[in-house]
Amino acid sequence: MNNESSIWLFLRKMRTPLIVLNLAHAIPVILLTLVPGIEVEGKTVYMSFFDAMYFVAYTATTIGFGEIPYAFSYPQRIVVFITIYTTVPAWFYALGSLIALLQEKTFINAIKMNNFRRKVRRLRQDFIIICGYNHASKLLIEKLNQDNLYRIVVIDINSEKIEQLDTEIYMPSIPSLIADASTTNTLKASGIQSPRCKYIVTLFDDDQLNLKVSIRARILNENIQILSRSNVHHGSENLTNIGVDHVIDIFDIIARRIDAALRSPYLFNLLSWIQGGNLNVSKSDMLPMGKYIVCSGGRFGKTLQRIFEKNNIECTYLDINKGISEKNFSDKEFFIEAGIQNASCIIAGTNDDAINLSIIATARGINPALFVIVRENEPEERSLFSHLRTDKIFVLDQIAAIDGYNYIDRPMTFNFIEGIEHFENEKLMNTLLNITDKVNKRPALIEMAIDKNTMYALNQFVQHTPVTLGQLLNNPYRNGQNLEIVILGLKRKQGEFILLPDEHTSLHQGDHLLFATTKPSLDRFKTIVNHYYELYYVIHGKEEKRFTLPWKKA
Amino acid sequence: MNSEKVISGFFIILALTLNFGFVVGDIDVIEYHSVYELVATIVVNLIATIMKLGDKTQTGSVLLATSFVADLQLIAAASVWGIVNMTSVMTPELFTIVVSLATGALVANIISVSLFVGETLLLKR
Repeated sequence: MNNESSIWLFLRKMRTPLIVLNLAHAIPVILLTLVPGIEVEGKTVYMSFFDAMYFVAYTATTIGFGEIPYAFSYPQRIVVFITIYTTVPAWFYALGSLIALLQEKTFINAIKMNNFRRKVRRLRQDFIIICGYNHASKLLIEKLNQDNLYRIVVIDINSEKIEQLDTEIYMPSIPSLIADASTTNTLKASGIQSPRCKYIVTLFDDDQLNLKVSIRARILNENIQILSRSNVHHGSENLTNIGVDHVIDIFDIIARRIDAALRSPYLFNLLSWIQGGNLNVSKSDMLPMGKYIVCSGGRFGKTLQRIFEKNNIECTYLDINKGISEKNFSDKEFFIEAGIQNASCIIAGTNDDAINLSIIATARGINPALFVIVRENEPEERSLFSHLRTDKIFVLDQIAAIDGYNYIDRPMTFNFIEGIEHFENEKLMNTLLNITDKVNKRPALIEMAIDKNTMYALNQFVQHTPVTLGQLLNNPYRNGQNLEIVILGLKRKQGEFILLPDEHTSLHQGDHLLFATTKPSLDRFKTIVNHYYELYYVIHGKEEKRFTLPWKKA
Repeated sequence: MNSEKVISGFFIILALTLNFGFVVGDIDVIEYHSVYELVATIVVNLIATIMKLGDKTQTGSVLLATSFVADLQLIAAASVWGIVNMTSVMTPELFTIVVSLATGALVANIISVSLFVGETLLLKR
């Protein structure tokens, strides 16, 4: 309402200048037609209305073509005097107020808001609203734009951040708005009530703000999926209570990963891969089983403590936060007291990267053999941590972004994780080695649906011919080469999830596939499932007869 | 008393009365219709239009629309008159067009005034 009314206000403010301009033209025109001109052929000539209007128009705008059609008489010149001294200032006044109004901030904002609304209204694809533009949302946007299943709309109250977004060249483009996302009006403007709006993601660092936005979003649209980031204790419960569909709870994710690592390095590696890492079990994936020292204030520390207690691992908890003087956490005594000399691992998990750096440096100084896990809050400092040869780095923003991305574009990853968590160590190792053998050590994780948008030909084919996974993947071109694809999961239309389906699994319309692959194999796979004749050859091993020559009667 | 209401009411009603004054009389007799009255009608109509700008109520929009109609008709009338004067001689047949266009504007102005009065009567304060 605020922005709409400023346009009305604009029109209302233009009333006086426009009326002044109108009168400043009308009065001289009438006077000029009334005043006698010079005598031509014995008759006094009066100006016609057209001539008078013409004259006033070019005089008022200071163009000044001169006295036409005849030279003026003295009474006419007196009127011209009045004309000049009234119309010219009237013009300046009108133009001046117009320009002043155009530069008014509220008016410019109103125009921007209207542009934004129009762009959102014209989106012809399903879209996602992202509230807050930061490292996490930037990464999320890049990921989502690659898949291009949804368009994206961004809201942030900070104009610098939105300007930064505008300088990035995103394809497809991203409508953005500088506004407070926690107001109903802003959310409505960004199209939350549109049936095309499928998700809203709030990635602010401030939990209170995330909560505010989520509540409003739930009230405005009951069907929308809400993803919200939670940073503090109890935050996630709160969010779930008000109807948030997926809470991006980073500490919980990290804790789950450490829990997994204590059980099996292979599970840990698979989880890291799904959440954005490499698929290669190295020495740094083997967490030591000795004593742990957790340096963290607040919720992260508590969550980790629970995990260690569950796994019966000795753990010393040091509550380090900004309140404690710097001397303390760079003081060797402090760490020796905590028993660092016989500890095997230290977790530097404060919310300040400088403190984390200092913790690592001091701890390594006392016990060089320590396994070091660090929480990274600002992604720019990545180089610093890797320089210190830390064994594990958890980048919060990256974890948050990939978790949100998985929920939106690859929801089956959650089924997959749930499934493999119950596996024994050996089975996990086989699963992982199977992927790395068939694909490579840095496979892409893709989820695709068998529908007419993503697998056009296959979607039609499965209606009349039974197709199994093996037919598509094993030796499709009869040249002895398999596609570098490992199917991790298959989800039926009815919701049934099949973990690691074998090659005899048949495919149906509406199935979703989760698989690990390489770029060339993915391209080949897409070609097969989207081209009818290609698919026919892959399945039957021969070209389909498209026509019969008349002399070769079949 | 609302001074904004007084001023806008003044112009809206003046537009109607001037328009009526111009139109009244035999339709094809030039002497009955003063050119200055037509000019005054146009000027006052334009002011009335501007006064109605920026009113975001439902009636406000309809008022603005009637004003635009009146402006269009009056300017068309004036243009016909001016063009005929510049190019040929005014005949009663041609002059009928001018006055009938202005009569059309009169209808728009009547609607405008009745809306204006009606809205005012509806207000209970």
